[in-house]
Amino acid sequence: MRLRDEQVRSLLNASRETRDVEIDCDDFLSLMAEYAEVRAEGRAVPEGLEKACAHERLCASCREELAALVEIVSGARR
Amino acid sequence: MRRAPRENAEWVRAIADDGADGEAARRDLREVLVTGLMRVLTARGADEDLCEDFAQEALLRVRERLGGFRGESRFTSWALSIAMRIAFDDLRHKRWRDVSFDAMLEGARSPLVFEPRVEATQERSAVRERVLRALADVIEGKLTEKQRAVLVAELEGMPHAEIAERLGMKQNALYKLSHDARKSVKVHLEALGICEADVLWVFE
Repeated sequence: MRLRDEQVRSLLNASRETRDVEIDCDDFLSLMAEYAEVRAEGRAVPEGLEKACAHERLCASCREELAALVEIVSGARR
Repeated sequence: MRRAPRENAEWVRAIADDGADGEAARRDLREVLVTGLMRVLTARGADEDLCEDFAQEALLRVRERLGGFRGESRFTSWALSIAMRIAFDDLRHKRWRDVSFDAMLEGARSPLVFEPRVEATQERSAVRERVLRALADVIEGKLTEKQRAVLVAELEGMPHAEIAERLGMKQNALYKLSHDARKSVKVHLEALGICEADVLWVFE
């Protein structure tokens, strides 16, 4: 198995972001709408959504979905 | 005359309704979903027909999960979040379906090697060497074969839904496996006194 430097960086970042308790992708989905609205409105992330924020840093798939939803929600507000 | 936008409670009531109100609400929600999907998916190669299909599937799922809507966001945002999951899962699956997972598993079984690189100073070289040796120790010595396979697939960019399908696992079980692997790496690096500053200095 050959690891490129970008993969090593990615692994080290993921390790740094790892917490004892994390939410998974299904849990993230249940918070995604609320989190997207917070992000679209530029509000500070409330305590209840910090776990969503942590998951976003770790999961590329959820990050991609969230970015798309933020774009839609932001567009709907304009 | 265009009707006033629905409040959350009205959406929930109407979507569950089997009569004319429900039909109108589902038609309106479908329009919201298709518009949103088109906005973000057109650039990703999805046409209107595909967006309509995603919206239809999302409508069904929204009705099934109506009891799970907690009202913490606008109802339409919640429905769109479900549509996003359906659409992106499908697009990612199409992107990855022809990629060989067996080749990744094979890679995960072979000895670990890193990209050779010449650092500007001996000190940087030594820190890089130390971090990479620690990673090799934990990946080869402390992770299970399944954890290594998941780690390799993740590092190649394969989405969790796809890895879970290939391994015949539920996605939350896969997430736990991935979490445990990351945790092992973190604990091992910390036990060796490799700090964030070292890692940032050499790898950022």
